[in-house]
Amino acid sequence: MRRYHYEFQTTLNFTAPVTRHYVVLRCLPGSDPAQRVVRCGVTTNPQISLYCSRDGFGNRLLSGSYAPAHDHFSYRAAGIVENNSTQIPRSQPHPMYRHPGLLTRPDEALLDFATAQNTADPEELAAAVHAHFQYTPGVTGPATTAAESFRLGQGVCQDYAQNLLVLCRLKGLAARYCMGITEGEGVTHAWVEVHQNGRWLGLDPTRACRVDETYLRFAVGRDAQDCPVDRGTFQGVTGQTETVSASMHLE
Amino acid sequence: MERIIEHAGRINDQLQRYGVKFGIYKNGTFQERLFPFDPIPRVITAAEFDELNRGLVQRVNALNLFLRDVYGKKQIILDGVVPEDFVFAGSGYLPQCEGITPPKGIYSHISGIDLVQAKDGGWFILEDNLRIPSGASYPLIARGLCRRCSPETFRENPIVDNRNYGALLKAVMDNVNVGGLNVIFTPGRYNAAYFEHSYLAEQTGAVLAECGELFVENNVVYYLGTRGHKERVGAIYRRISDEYLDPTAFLPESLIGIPGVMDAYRAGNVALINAPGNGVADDKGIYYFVPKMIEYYLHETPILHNAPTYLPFYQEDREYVLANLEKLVVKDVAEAGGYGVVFGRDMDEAQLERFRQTIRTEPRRFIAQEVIDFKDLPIMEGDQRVERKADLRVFVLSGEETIVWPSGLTRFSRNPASFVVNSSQGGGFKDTWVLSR
Repeated sequence: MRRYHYEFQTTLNFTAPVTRHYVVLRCLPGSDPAQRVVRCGVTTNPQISLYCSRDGFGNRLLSGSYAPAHDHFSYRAAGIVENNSTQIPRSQPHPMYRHPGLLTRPDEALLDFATAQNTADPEELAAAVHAHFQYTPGVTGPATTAAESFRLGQGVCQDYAQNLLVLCRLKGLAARYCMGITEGEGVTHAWVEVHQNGRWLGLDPTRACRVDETYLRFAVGRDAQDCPVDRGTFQGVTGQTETVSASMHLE
Repeated sequence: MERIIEHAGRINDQLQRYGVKFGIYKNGTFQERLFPFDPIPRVITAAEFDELNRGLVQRVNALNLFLRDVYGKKQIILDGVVPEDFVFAGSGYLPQCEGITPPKGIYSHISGIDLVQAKDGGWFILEDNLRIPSGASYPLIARGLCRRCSPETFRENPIVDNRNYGALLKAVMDNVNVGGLNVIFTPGRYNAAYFEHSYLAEQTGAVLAECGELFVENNVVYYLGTRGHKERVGAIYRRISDEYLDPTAFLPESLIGIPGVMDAYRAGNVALINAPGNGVADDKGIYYFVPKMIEYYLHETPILHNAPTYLPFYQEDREYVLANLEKLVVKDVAEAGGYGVVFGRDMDEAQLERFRQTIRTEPRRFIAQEVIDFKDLPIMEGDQRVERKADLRVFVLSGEETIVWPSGLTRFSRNPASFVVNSSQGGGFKDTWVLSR
């Protein structure tokens, strides 16, 4: 068991004021025996009241709005968690995790790639994805599909994760996308959980390793489209810059 | 009836003046077209309507129970009646709706069920439309005009009055309204059915709102009216598809939605009509299973029949489809509005072989049906009476109880060779008379 302090912060700066800003945040981690949340909270600037609910994937959701004109908006999530990778609870996967989401529909190339893997072992599939990709920031975006990034052979953690999801599901496994933070990474990270022997097994195809106690899960979904860390809308004609920081360290 | 035929030109002029239009997208551009009205009504006898009525109420009740089950306990899937592939792999399934029970447990408040009548008089269900079926306003306004042109026709014939649609729709909204205004939310005047949105707002006394006029604050939806003060909204009959409804929950690039409306809906602070996620119950693949749903949930025998349908997903059906493709009609389950419908008899041998290959590689993508020999209906083509293919969309309203509107939209194909009657494919419409005896 390891006890971590975590912090995640995003700041949006607008070049011209915006109004009627609505935000939905997924940065309150859920608590279970493997990831026990001791303390957690989210604050915003300007301060707004946030309403807490759960989305259809079971993620904790915070939503709120700020109507007056403003030229910046930031939120900060922080807390303490105790991670214990020997305590992953038994579970029944929701059947949706055997089927694709919007960004994880296979195309012919991915179908061929899946057929070429003579294994249904998730770790070997993760290794195959890792070998196919060259880690390259900036060539893909949040709306890039698994098939598009596969064709490029380049991308970031989201693309690695989504390709592994496609392979696992084509092999008949239930698999879900995980979004969160991890030690040594300054932004959000993405990885995969595959349902094996009655439990979710965490695999990180970007780093080609198993997920351990240095990972903190904020949200899950069928793919990245289902569980962005934040999503918002506002009114105004403006440019926008975003600054993100994340940290996770032993208490 | 002859009097109405005499007045057909005037009725169409009036429809044009009222702006009864249908928008279609052709070659990437939006064109607004008149939806041509044919004066010869489709007539449904009281006995015939009685059977349709019972069958449609049964069907829609089962579909509502299926939706509650899919987004709740999933018992029908666990019991192996519907394979999960037909539920969770389709784009109509929205996991964002998992665990949400809408006000009064109603998912499909307004269902548009499309039927055809075979030459022998039997009715077949063609498809269920549980998202935002359009079209009720067309027979409604045409009936009003016909009554004005020829009042005696409606005195002399035992025709059930259909002019209460607005009142029925209002009752459906009031039934689930959680406190506040009834609103009809339209994507705007470039939508194919904008005429209908404004007409129904007028008929129900609901507020017609566009993007930007509804917003969410503290998980509650408000309408910002012209007077500048906000009013709470209790029910939204939204005429915008699920994926554009809320950019924070669905397509982030949607500019025509209401940010946060799903949060308010999840919290029970607003009713959405129809509920988001209904697409899981009306795709062409799930259609095959509706008779099974009726047996499963209601323990009743289906009163109305599906067209004979094969699912290539099942090996036995696939073999039949591959062997008989030239006489079947194949539909792509992901398409709507008459697109993605292919008749085997229209393909040459090379095309058939290519299509067989597509079915082999993507069996889940298609359903195949026997071509039903439709009963043709007479229409006026100039001064000539000619026969054309037609279908019937019946509107079923689920409020305190489920009722069938005693009318409907009869659409016909103007092209004598075409079996596709969707308005988005450029057909026309007729009034539908239900007789009281």
